[in-house]
Amino acid sequence: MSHYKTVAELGAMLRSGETTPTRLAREALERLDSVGRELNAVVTLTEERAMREAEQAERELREGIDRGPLHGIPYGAKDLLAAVGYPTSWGAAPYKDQIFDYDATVIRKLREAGAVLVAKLAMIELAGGAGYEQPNATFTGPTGVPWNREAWSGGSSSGSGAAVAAGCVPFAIGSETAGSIHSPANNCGLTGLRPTYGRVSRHGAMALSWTMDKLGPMARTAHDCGLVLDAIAGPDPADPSTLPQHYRYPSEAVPAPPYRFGVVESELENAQPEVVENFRQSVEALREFGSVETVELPDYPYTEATSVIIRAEMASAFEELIRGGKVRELTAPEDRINPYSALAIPAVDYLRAMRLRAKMCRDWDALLSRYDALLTPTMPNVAPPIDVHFASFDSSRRRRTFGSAVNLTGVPGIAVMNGFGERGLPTSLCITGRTGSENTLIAIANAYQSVTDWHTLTPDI
Amino acid sequence: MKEGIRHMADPKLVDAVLAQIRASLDHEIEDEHIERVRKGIDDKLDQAERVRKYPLENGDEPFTVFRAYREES
Repeated sequence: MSHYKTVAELGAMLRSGETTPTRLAREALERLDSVGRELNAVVTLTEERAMREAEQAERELREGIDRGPLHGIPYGAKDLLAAVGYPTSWGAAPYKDQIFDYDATVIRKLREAGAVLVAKLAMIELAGGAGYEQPNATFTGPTGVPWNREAWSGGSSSGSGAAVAAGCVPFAIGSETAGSIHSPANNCGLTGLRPTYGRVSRHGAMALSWTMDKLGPMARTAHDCGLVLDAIAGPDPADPSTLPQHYRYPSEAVPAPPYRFGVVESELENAQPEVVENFRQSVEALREFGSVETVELPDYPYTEATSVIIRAEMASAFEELIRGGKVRELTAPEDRINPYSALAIPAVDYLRAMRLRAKMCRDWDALLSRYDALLTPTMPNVAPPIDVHFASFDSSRRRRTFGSAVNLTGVPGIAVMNGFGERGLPTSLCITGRTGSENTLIAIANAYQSVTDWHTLTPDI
Repeated sequence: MKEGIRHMADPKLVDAVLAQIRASLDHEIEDEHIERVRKGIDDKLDQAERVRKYPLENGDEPFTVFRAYREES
């Protein structure tokens, strides 16, 4: 069986003849249909397309055509990415039958790299833009954590996290506006890479916040995240925010150890004890690869500016939904009401937040230029129970200064599992770097995963 | 940002913003949801006030990807 194999391992199996693209696709479809559906991780199985793409990949391998590390590898995509032939629901009941007649750039690039789309995966409605306050905020129901099905897999890339962690697919594509890759990576014990804003084209992806939306890979290892990012990154005329630089992984232009690490102690203040303990052990493990010092973040109203910007852009992106009343068809009761107030954010408030954001970006770049990476827990807590409002779980830990800051400034970060906390749930280490430093972050995460084995553990499911 | 005392907006301002929102909708907000919308308005006014406390110079511009457009032939 190929469950829990990495992209790199599956690639070796494909090339040795130990398995085939069609066999991998069938195994992924079967596991998604059973385990994936039990977890509420799946919106749509793309079986016909998957088998067609797998058969092509198989035929090409037989003919000696090799498209690279993703050739013949099955994957799932968050259901906010357009894919020809299947609905793209954005996780929201009002859009559940929506069809696009083109592939999102990310889906197209993965197809060109030989990867096989097997499923559209569950997500929080509108990627959380309506201000959800509980796991039950999507028409497909809350997604469980493979390590503990009574816990929530995180959001908004809920299904992407659960499907990879449950061994349904070796990688999935998620999106992050303000934590939506790192939250499920934390809750499910995965490696999740939030690329630099503009690294990956957003064309064909649901827009929640044009200036903050990012797409990125979720996989078992940092190396796999690099392989996927290599396939999906790059400039795209269809997305004017894409960076002009081409991205390549692996790359020889990566700084070697010793690295300079900065630890953001303030992020430990409200964290659960096990999260703090596992973080301290992670930092000790990384001392083998560099020096560590404590850093303080520039003082800005990160969470407030994030809220003003996302809410204003969300209200514009979904103005017809809100004004027309279809917002009342969303699943979470609060999501049917919260968007109204965003209709009245003055342009001067939005622009003030955007002007302040430019100053934040400069100050953060000055800070990050002194380090190879900042180290923090990915989240201050493990996954909450699947059936409670967040406020009743741990409201004191909901204020996410660092998470807001890194998304406002658009800098990359990679989350890696670093242990277990309460209820047998994963905890996670976050490695954050300067704009464009993905390969440095992957190298550091690779180093961490070379001396630890958390990423190799699998849930009993 | 250091935690500060939460700014409570003038109820008259909240009412005015609420009236603006209601007038712009194609439907009525149900009565039992009005208090929650008021709370949302108050939160956003508070967030904007906190952002406003950070000084900006006239030359502090936002980043933008706007570009004058001409289709390549």
